[in-house]
Amino acid sequence: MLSKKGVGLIEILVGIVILGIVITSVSTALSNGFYFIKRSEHKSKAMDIAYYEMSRALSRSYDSPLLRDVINQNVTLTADEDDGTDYTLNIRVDDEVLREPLPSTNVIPYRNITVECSYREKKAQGVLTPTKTVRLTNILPYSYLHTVSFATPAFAVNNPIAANAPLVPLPMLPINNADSNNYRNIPEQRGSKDIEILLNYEVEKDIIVNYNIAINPVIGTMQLPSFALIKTRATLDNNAFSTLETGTPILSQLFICNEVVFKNVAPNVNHVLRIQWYRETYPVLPALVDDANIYLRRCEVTVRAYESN
Amino acid sequence: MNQINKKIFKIKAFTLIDLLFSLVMISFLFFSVYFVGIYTLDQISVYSQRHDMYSQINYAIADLEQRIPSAMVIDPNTLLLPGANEINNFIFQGEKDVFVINHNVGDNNNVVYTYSNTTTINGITGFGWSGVNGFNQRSGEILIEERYHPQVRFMREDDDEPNFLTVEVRIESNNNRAKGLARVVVKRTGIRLLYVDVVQRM
Repeated sequence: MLSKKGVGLIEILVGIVILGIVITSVSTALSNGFYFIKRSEHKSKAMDIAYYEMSRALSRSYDSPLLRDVINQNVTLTADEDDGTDYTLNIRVDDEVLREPLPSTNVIPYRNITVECSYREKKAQGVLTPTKTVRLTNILPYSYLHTVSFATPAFAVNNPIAANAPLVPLPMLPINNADSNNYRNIPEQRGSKDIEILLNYEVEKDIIVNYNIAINPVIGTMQLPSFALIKTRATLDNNAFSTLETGTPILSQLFICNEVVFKNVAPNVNHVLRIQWYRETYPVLPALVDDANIYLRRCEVTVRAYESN
Repeated sequence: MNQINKKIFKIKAFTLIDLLFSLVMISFLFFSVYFVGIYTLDQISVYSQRHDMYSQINYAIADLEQRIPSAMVIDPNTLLLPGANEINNFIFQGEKDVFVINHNVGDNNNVVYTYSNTTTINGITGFGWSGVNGFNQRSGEILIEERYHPQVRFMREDDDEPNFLTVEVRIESNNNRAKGLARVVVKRTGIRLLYVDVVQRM
């Protein structure tokens, strides 16, 4: 009724082999479980490092020298506290240009930023893997709008003894023609160089210049006529661009405000902007001479440069 | 009758060797199942905690990245100094609705946010923010629980732009069984503020 046949050696061996395979598979899967978590954490950390550095780079302006400083930077970061993984950071900034389709000659400059974070990790058996790299790229486009501001110090009002005494008074000069050579550059400070704002853009720009000039007329014994004028203008590249010339009455307007536009300013050339003025003689009464002196109190210049259409 | 008994007793029973062998095998099997079970449960526990840690740290960073850019006024005591330095609390007036940013300082809907490592909301402590708006309504949220020992630093690196704030979030696992895994998880993010600088003007 009952079989007397037992389990054979072959059956036992097959059973042991199968059991061995099952146990090995399960234990390998379990021991690799932590390695998989570790691997994904390393990748996540490399991504975080790269993302943070990219955020820093993108917070810089296009022209920032600090952005230039990181070109081809290669830094090994502190090892991970627990498992000794080293992360190496590499940041590259390349100047590149996108050209619009012909016949347009417009170019769009941009900075191509590449951040790479490399690392090697240990496998469960302690073997180092080949270098793995997380790479992020982004661009910093050339600014559509650029601004520059400049202001002289505030000069004292008619106090020649003070340290910041007024400038040499503006002499009264005869008017010659529309492009008078009598114009004088407004200086930065007393006895110092003229206001010179250097402009250089990578694309063709329309430049808007706003300047404000505060004056202090010191009137002598003679009455200053109401039609006494100060002529002012902004010049670019020694008046290479035709510009608006403004006459402002001295008596009624002690604060001169003007806005000038220079269209289609050529790219990649150093342009010099100056603010100039002179005091006009009386065209209708050429013989009339007054004894008023005009002093500069302050001059402010703001430049905005837009991309030309 | 005798014949029947003879037949029955002829059937071979387990010998001592058989019993010992089977005992060893069963013990081995039980111990294997037990240890595999324990190991698997450990692993599930570690997976679960790592997932929770990463969820909380990512949520905290997302919250910081959403609320801080709209800061309009920063508490002078939490402004950073020029150069590399750091603080642990950050107090500023920002938008209640982070998707509608209008830069109206003193708006009743604005909230004065206080981010701190020791915020307590409804009896729960941890890293988070507490806030009060112009109607004196209080609100707040715990972003990382205390059990992960959150340490958040608001930092400035050398030569950073004045409106760029580095936030480093560091949390620590209390699970010692995560063999080979870092117990400390650190994440950094860089936040650009839209309206104000994070550094004091000297």
